[in-house]
Amino acid sequence: MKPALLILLVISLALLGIAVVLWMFLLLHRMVDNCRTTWRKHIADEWLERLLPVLENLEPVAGLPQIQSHAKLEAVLALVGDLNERFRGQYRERLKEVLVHIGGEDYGLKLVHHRHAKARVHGCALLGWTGLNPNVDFALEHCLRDADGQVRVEAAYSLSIRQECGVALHAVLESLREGGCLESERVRDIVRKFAPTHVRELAGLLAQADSAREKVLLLDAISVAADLAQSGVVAAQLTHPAPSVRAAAVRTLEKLADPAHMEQVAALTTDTDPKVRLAVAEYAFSMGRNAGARYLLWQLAQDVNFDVQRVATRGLATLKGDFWERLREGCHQDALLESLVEEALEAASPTLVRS
Amino acid sequence: MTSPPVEWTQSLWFTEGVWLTSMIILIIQCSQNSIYLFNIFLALPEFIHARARASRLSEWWMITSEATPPVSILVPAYNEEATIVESVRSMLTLRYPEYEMIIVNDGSKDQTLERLIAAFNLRPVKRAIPHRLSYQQVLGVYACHDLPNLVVVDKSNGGKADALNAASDMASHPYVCSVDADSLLDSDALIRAVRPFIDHPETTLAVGGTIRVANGCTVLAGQVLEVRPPRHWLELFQAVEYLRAFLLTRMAWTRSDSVTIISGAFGIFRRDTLLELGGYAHGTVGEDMELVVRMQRWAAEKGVNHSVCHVPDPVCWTEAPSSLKVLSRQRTRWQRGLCETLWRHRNMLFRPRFGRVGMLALPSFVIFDIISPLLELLGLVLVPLCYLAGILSLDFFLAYFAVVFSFGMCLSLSAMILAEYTLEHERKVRDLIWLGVGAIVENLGYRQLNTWWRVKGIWQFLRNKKGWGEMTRRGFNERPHGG
Repeated sequence: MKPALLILLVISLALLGIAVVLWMFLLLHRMVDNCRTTWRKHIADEWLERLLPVLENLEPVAGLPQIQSHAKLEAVLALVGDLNERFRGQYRERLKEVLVHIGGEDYGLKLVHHRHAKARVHGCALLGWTGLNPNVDFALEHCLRDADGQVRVEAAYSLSIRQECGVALHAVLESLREGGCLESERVRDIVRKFAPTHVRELAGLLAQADSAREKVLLLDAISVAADLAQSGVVAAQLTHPAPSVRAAAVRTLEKLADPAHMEQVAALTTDTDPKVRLAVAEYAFSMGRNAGARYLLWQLAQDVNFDVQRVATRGLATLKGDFWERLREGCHQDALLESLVEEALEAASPTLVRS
Repeated sequence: MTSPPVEWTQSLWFTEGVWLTSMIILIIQCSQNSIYLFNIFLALPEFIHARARASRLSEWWMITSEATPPVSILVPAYNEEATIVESVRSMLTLRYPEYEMIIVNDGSKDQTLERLIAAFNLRPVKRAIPHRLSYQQVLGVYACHDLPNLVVVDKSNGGKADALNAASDMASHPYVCSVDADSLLDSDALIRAVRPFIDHPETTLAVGGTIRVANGCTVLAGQVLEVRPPRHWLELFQAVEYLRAFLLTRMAWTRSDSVTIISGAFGIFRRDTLLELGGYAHGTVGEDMELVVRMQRWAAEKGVNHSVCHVPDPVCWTEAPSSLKVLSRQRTRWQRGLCETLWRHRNMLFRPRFGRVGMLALPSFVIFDIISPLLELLGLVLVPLCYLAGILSLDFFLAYFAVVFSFGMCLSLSAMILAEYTLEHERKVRDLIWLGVGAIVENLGYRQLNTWWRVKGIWQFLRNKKGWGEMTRRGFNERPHGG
């Protein structure tokens, strides 16, 4: 046989042999993994029975046994995490005590110094559930300077749910500016969680922010904080060159229920970006009591963008009044507008099917 | 007259010609298998990346967070009376904070619409239709009180792309998810599929989910209760093929940033981009691939920073054809769709302007999915015949079939091992053994049959054959394990 063909034959058969061996390993791995899963389920069941009376305050936390092995601790931590998420904070305070008692906090503090980023992310997530402890806050703040962006995001999230930590929002945002972390919608959630306790800081950061994305996140957070006193700072963003910022500013004014800047918002009915005009239509709908808002809706009902038209028409149909009658009378020349009016009428009527 | 056969087969030019052809076939086969093997290694870090993303963005966080975007699910249905109600029920059980479902009855000749109306107590409603995309006339829109997120659109027949365009046009959420009416979504499929949109909302244009074969699984009330591999050989081969050819390859493409296919059975797109692109293209049976290639082209031409990716953990279950006749129709149609897309976008080939899609993904389709099947089929016929005629040596014959079968088996097994190791779909050891057997045996006939269907598909494309061909369905409840 020619050497080249022989080599090809040997390589092909060797690869097949390797694949078969790997298959055998997979079978073995699955057998072991199935055993581990069964064991973890068993541990979880056993601990659920122990935890329920503790969570219901029927038994003391100190009555729970200490956990020595990491594998067992991981199984119990998974259960505790599950309970924390499923009951949405119902047992949160008690679970914090449980975590400290079983060594979850110490374990988390060790994990945040692990060499693998995945373990550090896991450690940050774990520390987020734990109770008041300056060491934990310090460790999480330290993770805000981690080289890995995901670790920084997870640390920021954990700090955001530990309301008492007292970390400055600008420090959190600064840590997230690098590596494109701000792009993630998870960061929106983080900034929102900081919002109620950092309203003044939000306004200051908004004025200083350079990137459009950061401004959008801060505007969104101001809308969650619902502090009408910040509407002036928000309105200043209505002329920002980025459409995403203009749209976010309009949405924030809508959430703040601010009628004072309607004229500035009205100037955006002719904005080039349909997302901005859509935000204006939603703002005008929510300001429906105001005649000026109904005029805006009437204007936007004749917009070139269908989504804007739909919101405006539905708004007018709900609010009724002169502009709605004007729209109904004048819609017959435009088949699409006419069908939008019919759709809005049906949607506004409680006796008909709502779609 | 010509010389007797024995003489011309022994002539130098003929022997050299056969030898050269056989060598080209062997080299193509070797490089194709090596690239597939390389894809497995390329897919591995992407699986790890997807797993890390899944642990960061937990399902509970996504369900409770306002950061999770609302999605419109688009379901085109044509003659789907057997499965449509169960599919819709399956989608109604999705764990997702905010979504609407738009089912489009694309002029079905059977009782698809009537079954939907009866099952969900639908009533006609008034809906404004903007016609931003091109599609056939809408005959009626139906909705119901109890399920405000369900809308059924009845329209004249225009094909799958036409139905999807109608649904996209009527969708109200920023993301649209196309799902086949004969498919079942896992209850967490949607929440898992939107993760890339959470991580990179500005740049992610489209995301594809994993399609798996439901044959053999226990299905009840639109939910896959017990995952089992199919018992029937043909269905088992397809289950392995879905892991090898679709899941692994698409993960590798995601890694190399060159995804050009998102299956029509389960894919999520940004609605504004879809509308800007003019929706799905008419006149092709490969509308899913065509859309993604067009999207890549549009992004490259506009200089848009973008990503199109595949995520492995969200699963959409589909009913695999259980007869050779139906499977043959499906595969030749897929091949025609591929040829049509490549032909439409031929000027993207080898153009650096289109990045890895133009330089890597599309040329590899041409080489490995158009040229290679022709050569593979030629090799399967030519090599044994030439060996029997004494033109090719036994050495070459053995080496050729070692490459075809051993390499093929290695690839199928490796793909199955990687997918099962990372995703842990099959929990039972005996099911893994069965899948492994399927991965080995599929190389002894099934893959060759597939090659033949591909060649047939190319031939049908060249003859300008159009249409989908009939796909008969048994429905999810009529299987051996069917429950």
